[in-house]
Order: sequence, then C-alpha cells, then structure tokens
Amino acid sequence: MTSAGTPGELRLYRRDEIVRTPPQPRLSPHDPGLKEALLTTEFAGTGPREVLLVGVIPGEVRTSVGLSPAVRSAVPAAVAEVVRELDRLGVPARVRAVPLPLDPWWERA
Amino acid sequence: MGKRITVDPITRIEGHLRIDVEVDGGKVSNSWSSGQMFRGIEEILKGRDPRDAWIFTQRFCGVCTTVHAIASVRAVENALGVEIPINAQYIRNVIIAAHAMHDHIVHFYHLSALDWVDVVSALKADPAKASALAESLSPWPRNSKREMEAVQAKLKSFVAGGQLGIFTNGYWGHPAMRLSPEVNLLAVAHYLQALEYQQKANKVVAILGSKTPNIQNLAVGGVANAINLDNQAALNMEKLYMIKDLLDEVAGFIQQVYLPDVAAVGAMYAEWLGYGAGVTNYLAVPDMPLDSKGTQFDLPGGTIMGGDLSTLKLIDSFQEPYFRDNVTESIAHAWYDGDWDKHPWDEDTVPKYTDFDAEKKYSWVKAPRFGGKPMQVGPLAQVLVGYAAGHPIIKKYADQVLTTAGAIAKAKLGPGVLHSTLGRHAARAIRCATFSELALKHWGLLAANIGKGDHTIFTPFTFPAGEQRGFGFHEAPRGVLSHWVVIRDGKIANYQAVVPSTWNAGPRDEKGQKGPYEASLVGNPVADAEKPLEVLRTIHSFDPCLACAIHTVDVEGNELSRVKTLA
Repeated sequence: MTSAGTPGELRLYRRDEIVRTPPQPRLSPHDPGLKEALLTTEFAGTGPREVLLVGVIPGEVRTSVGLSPAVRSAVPAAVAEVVRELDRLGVPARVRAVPLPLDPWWERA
Repeated sequence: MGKRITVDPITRIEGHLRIDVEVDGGKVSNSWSSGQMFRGIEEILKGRDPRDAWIFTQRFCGVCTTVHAIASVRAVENALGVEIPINAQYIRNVIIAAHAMHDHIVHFYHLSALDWVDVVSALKADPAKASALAESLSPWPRNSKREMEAVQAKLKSFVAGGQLGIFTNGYWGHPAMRLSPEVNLLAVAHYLQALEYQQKANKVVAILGSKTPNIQNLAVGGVANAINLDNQAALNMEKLYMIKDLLDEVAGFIQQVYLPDVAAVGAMYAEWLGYGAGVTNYLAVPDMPLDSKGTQFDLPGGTIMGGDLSTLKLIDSFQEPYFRDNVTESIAHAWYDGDWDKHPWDEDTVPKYTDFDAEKKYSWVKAPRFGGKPMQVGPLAQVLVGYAAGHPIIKKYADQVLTTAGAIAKAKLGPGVLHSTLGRHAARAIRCATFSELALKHWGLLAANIGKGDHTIFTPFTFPAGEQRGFGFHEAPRGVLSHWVVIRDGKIANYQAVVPSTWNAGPRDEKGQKGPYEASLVGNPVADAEKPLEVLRTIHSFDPCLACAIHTVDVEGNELSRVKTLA
C-alpha cells in the first residue's frame, strides 16, 4: 500500500476510493491489478457488493521472501479489521479460545 | 535526435517491460526494449531433483504457468530418453490446447482490443445496424439486436454514473481510432462474452490439471491423472464429457466470434498491415505430439528466414539437432556478469546490474539467437510455418481470415500482409481456431484409447550415473519455449529456460542486431507523442509477458502517467 505514513500502519479503503483514479494503459497480462479486477467484474455484472481493502504500509519493497518486521507485527491488527468488518456485515467470526500462533509457511524450517 | 518517449509500468515494484523510442517527424526512428526484472529460478534449481523442476519453473510466471511445467518435464524426459504413454501425451495436449485458447482470447479481447476499439463511440451506435453487420459476418446466435441493446444500455448506465469503469484506460477519441460506432458496440458485446468463454477454456485446464494457474497433474514420465471409468475420483466418462462440452462451446466462440472480429478489425485498420513487421526471421517448434517419442505432431514447427516462405526448414522431432545445436543467448546488452554468447547448456545466470544505458547494458532479458540471427516467435511464426508447409487446418483458417478481411477492405490480401502488427493478431486468431479443432481431436484420441482399455499414464525410469543433457520445447501461446537441463548423478547441474518473450523482447546482441520488439517499432507512426497509442499497438501485438511482480496499490496518489516524453 503506497501511502504517506510509517511502515506497519494500516490503511483501509472502500470501493469508491480504490477506483477513484482511472486505470492506466497496460502492456502485459501481468499488469492488471486490484482496480482492473474490480472494474471488470463490475462491468460483467458480477462485482462484489461490499469491498474493504485492508492494507499495510510496507517496510521495504524488494525481491525477497517474507514480510518486513513492521508489516509482520501489523498482521494481528489487520486481522482484527477483517473481523470487525465481518461483524458489521452480520457474519461475526468465531474467535478461538486460544489463538493459534502466526505460522507463515515461508518461515518454517 | 527527435523526442524520446519511455513507456514504463511504474505502478509495480521491479517493473516488467520498459520501451524507449525516439520519434522523429511523426515516426519512430530508434527503439530499445528493456526487461526490468531479474528471474533467478534457474539458480534455485541447481542441486535439486530433476523430477521437481517443473513445480519450480511454473512459478516463473503467474499467467503461463502450464507452459513451463510442460517444457520442463519434456526436457528431463529428453535427457533420460523416457517415452511417455500415449494417454499422457493426449492429456497434456488437451491441457496445452485449452490453455492456449484461454490465453489467446484474453489477449485479444481484454488486453489489446481497446487499442483499436473506442468504447465511448459505441454509445452512438444503432444496435439494429450493429446486429445486422454481425449477422452478415457470422452465424453466432448471440449477435441479436436485443443483445446489442442490452450492452449499450449497460454502457450508458456506466457513463451516466459518471464513469466508464474498466474502459477508462483507453485512449478514447485518439485520432488513430477509427471504427464505426456499430463495430465498436459489437466489440464491447464480444468483450463481455469473451470473459465467459476464456473461463470455459480455463476450466478444462483445471479439470485435467487439478487447478489452474499452476497445474498439479504432471510427472516426469507421464501424468498423474488416474484413469478409471468406474471411479468418481478418477478421470471417468463424466469428466471426459464435461471437458468435451466445454471445448465445443469454446470452439463455437472462437470460430464464429473471434475469427470474424479479427478479420473485421484488420480490414478497417488495413494500413496497420503495413507497419510493425520488424524481424522477419521466424522460429516455431512442433507441438501436439501424436506418438510417445515425439516424432509426429499436429502443429508444425520450423524456421523461415527473411520473410521468404520458400526458405522453410522443418523441425520435426523432440530430438531435432537443428533446434538443439542452433540456440544461443547473448548478454552483450543484458545485466549479467560477462559479455558472452553461449549455448543454454553452458550458460550461467549471474546478475550484474548497472543502470539503464542504451549504449551498453539495458535489460534483464538476454538476447536469444538462432544460428546467430534474431528470430520472431509466436503465433505468427507458427502460422507462417504451417502455411508454408501446407498444414490443412492452418491454411483453411488463414485463407478464411484473409478472404473475409479482403472482402471488407475491398482489397486482395495474401499471406504477405501477415508480416505486420495486425498480422500478429490475425495469426493468433488463426492459431486459436486451429486449436479449437485440435483440442477436440485430441480429446477424441484420448477417449478412443481409453475405450480400448489402455489406462497407462506413467513410464517408470531411473537416473543413470554420470551426466545427461536434455532439452524440451513447447510452442506456448507467446511462441517457442525451451528448457535446457544438465543432470549429474541424478541432480540438476545446470538449468536454463529460453522463453518466448525473451526471443521477442530481448535487447540487441553483440553484433548490435535489434530484437523483434525493437525492430518492429522502427517506422511506426506516432500521431501524438504524449499518447503513443501506436507504440502500444505494435508492442501489444506480440502479447508481451514479462514475469510477475508484487502489485502495490496506490489509492491516495494520482497514478503517475507511465508515459514519459523527453524533448
């Protein structure tokens, strides 16, 4: 998520904010991103009714595996935002009595 | 020196493809193609089990995953001399055909049609006229006046809502746009229908491959699709007929919509049959093998030099020395350590980045050469090879497109016009139509062979001690793909993939010969340097595909224009 702020800070966006600026001409099938996917499904009549993008400002952006420490520590807060949104939509998440530890596959030995 | 224009996808990290052109007097006078991303999977493969390589190589890309799986298992089978069961060959072939049809449909309608189609103009169309025009070109049942009215109403409601949605990224009203409102409306209707049919083609890949992207059903030595007509969990009659129904539907769309649409667009932009030829040496490899060894094929491969179809030299086996001995890659202008020109088995991939310097090194893409010459790869190469060789299906559809386009343009069009920007689009449609027949043929061959009671899907093998070298090729949607492997004592000692977009998007070589993208741009018109639509048209016609990067989303900033013009 490109935004002014400190790495690890959350940014939440709704549909209108995501599509506010028009998409640019693309060269390759790899170029289309979230905005294009959203607009294409809308034109085809199959777009989602509810859109919430939960983003995190990255610590560093380069070729490597894994998350920067700032983004990694933001994961619980990002999950909490998703849970809050589900609550708002009337489909509350069931919370585990004992939360599982964060266990990304790329950190396993 | 004229104006320098850079087209660079700035919204993605690492970047993909950067195109620099110099424009002088309304025409491109010089150009550079630069891959902006390093691909290091070859290094990761060293020391690993060759049976696992295809799983890794699929991750080169998020679009063409299947193709790297196919080329990789073929390379290892070639090194070990493994012949796969004919069922495995047919199952792979149906996947190859379905993937290609999905990919070609998406490329034309969703990634490049907007270079030619002015969506805003479709609002002014008369739906009855659009329907009548479509029905004069094709028996497709979804070209009715009602269908056209519904699409136009949808478009109107989008515009009334103050936005054009996905279509806002086009260069509307650009002086180089020139279809009638009716043709534009028809194109928008087919854009929507194409979304459905590309999905149906991709479903076939998922049914046989267990999922897509990144199929799971391959193995060095065959496939992992258990065949058992009495078992719900295996490949049975129900699944076979699910596949056939999907292939039938997709074939209808390709033959009755895609093919006539390409002919119509080609006819209405006939001057683009004169731009964008570039490198007219062509290279294609045979595919859709009909035997276990790979000596008989349903799609032809070979070389054509200097645009002269009489120079055709066929490549007709998985063991072909003409292919094996002639491929090299040059890093004279690529960001790798050294200055060599080597055969893929002897290459290394040691990155050495030194900023963009058009005179020295300016790309992550190496420059592949065939017998020292740059080659254009892709559907056009395969169609020209097929046309020259008298391939009946390719010739049938090529003549059909040329006749239809000629009738609309009121001109006589021969295969010579295919050496062009629009010729590449036409060739892709011709190849796609060829696949629409071959997919069903190979489905039939598979069903008939299973019907004989042959359920074999795998040939066991062992790794001999010492060193073996192998190569595997596949005619992927973007052209010739080859994987090269050196195995030592059962482990990968070296691995190289020479991919289609490397052939086409590669930089100059040590002799200064331009790659196909670069050569094709020289002489292109550019009406408005701030909106170089014509450059995008020619680059898009190659169906560029440089590997994936992570997408970062910029919601707050105005996305910077990716087109930079320097006086």
